[in-house]
This record gives sequence, structure tokens and C-alpha cells, in this order.
Amino acid sequence: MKIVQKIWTQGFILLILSIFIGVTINLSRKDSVPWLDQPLPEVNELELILQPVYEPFIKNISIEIAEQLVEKNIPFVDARDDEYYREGHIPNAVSSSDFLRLTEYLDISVGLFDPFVVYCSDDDCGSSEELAIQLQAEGYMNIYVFKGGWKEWNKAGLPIVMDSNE
Amino acid sequence: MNKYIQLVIRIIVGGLFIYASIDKISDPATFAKQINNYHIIPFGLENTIALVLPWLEIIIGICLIIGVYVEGASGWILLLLISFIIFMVQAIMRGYNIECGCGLKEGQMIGLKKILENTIMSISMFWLMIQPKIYFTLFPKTGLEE
Repeated sequence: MKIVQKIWTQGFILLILSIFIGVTINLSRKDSVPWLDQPLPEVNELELILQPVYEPFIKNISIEIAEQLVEKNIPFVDARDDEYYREGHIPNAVSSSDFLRLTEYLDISVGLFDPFVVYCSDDDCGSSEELAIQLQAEGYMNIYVFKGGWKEWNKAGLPIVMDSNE
Repeated sequence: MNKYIQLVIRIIVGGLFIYASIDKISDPATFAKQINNYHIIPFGLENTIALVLPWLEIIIGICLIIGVYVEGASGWILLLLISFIIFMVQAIMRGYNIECGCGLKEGQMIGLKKILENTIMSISMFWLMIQPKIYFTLFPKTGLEE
């Protein structure tokens, strides 16, 4: 019984200490994270997307906007595993499996201020947002996430590219 | 012999927890997204967890190694490992092929290997928790206290 009480007491002190440090450090960070996860804001104006931006942000786009961006030759980044990418991907899309190669490609094709789109398998996958955050940390400012991803694109019967076609 | 086994277990598990926490502390936003991938945390609380959990991991890792609050730290580690196992099992059962977000190796996916690793560590933590005496502590108890 004594050991259980000891574990509870010590565990409680350790938790309070962790919360205190976590709160303090987050408040003092320049890039502090909100305490509750908020969905990405959505942009529906193509003109707005095509302009270069100088403030870092990540925003969500619909399939209609994604389709128009493909037509405008805006680069897409496929955040799925390489094998899925090779089986089929959105036109203009590059694989994210080699992060260094991806950043080299983005440096040449869009630079830090022009837009590009990240997507993964569907709105349940999360890896597109995760990759967008990583890319934002690398200095890219103008990042859009196509939440519907490959599943929505494919379902809509929009053009796809397979590795054998390239 | 028992005391050396205790020490080795504490150094290995504590070291792993400290190492795993570093990436999560430096990039809580990415860690929050990795938690979000499990689709189990409600009300957007993944951010709160991503901001507190890595600090808890590093503190309990240090406590375990230096021998302060060993019972409490091993209790927390056991609780966290069991939670991680439950998270992974439910994700596998729902067909999610996702990164584990363990912080040990980038791109490491959930799977049987990770579940087995966590199970072995859980058993060792349980064993440590029920030890009548913890050796090599920073503030050893006097004979009178014992």
C-alpha cells in the first residue's frame, strides 16, 4: 500500500513539474504552439494563392483550386510513401521520400516565397500537414495543403501520372 | 547482482526516454501532427499533449538514471508505454500505416516490432517498481528511514 502511495505522490510531482516547464518554455518560444489544435484556414481565391508571400503560413485548398493550380503548373509535393507515388500521383507532383532532393527541387522551382501544394492519401492521413510544417521550418513561406489528397483527386477522375508514363 | 540489473535497466530505459524527447521538444508542432495521425485524441488536445509529454519524458528519464523519484518515474514510464501500445494496436486495427512518432528514428512506422519493444520495456519497468529497495540513488535512505 505504501509503495502505491509513493508512486502516486512522486508521479503527481513529476507531472506538475513537466506541465510547469512545458507551459513556460512554450510561452517563451518565438514559434509558440497553440494549446489546442486548430484546423487550417481555407483559401478559395486563385489570384490570392498565386501571389508571392513574405509571411510564413500553411493554408488548406479545395479540389477545385487544386485542379486549377495543376493547370497553372504549380508544383505539388506527394507526402505519401514512395511506392504509392510510383503507382500514381497528381501531375506536377514530386515525391517527398528524399527530403534533401525535395528541398533542392523546391529551391529551384518555387524558391521561398512562391506557392506550392502538399498532399497525402486523404483527409485522414495527416502526413501532408506534418510535411508542410517541416518545410515551413526550412523557410518556405507559401505552402498549401490539399486535404482531400490522392483519394479525392482519383475519385473525381482527374488526370493522374504513373511512373511508367513518365 | 540485482542492483546492477536495476542500474542497467534504468540507464537503458531512461536514456531512451531522454533521447526520444529531444526531437519532440525542439519541434512540438510536428509531434502534435504525429499524435493527430493516430485519430484518438479528442478536442484538439494533441497540441497540449505535444507541449507537455516530451518534458515529462525527459524529466522521468533523468530521474530514472540519477535515482530520484525512481518509483514515480518508473510508474509514469509503465503507464506511457502501455498507452503507446494501445495507441499503436488501435491504429493497426483501423488500417493506418503511420509514423510512430516515437522520436527515436525518423520515419519509423508503427508495427509489431515497436509493440514488442514497448512490451519488454513495460515488463522491466514493472519489475523495477516492485523492487523492495532501489540502489544507486542520488539521495540514499539512511538505515533509520528504511
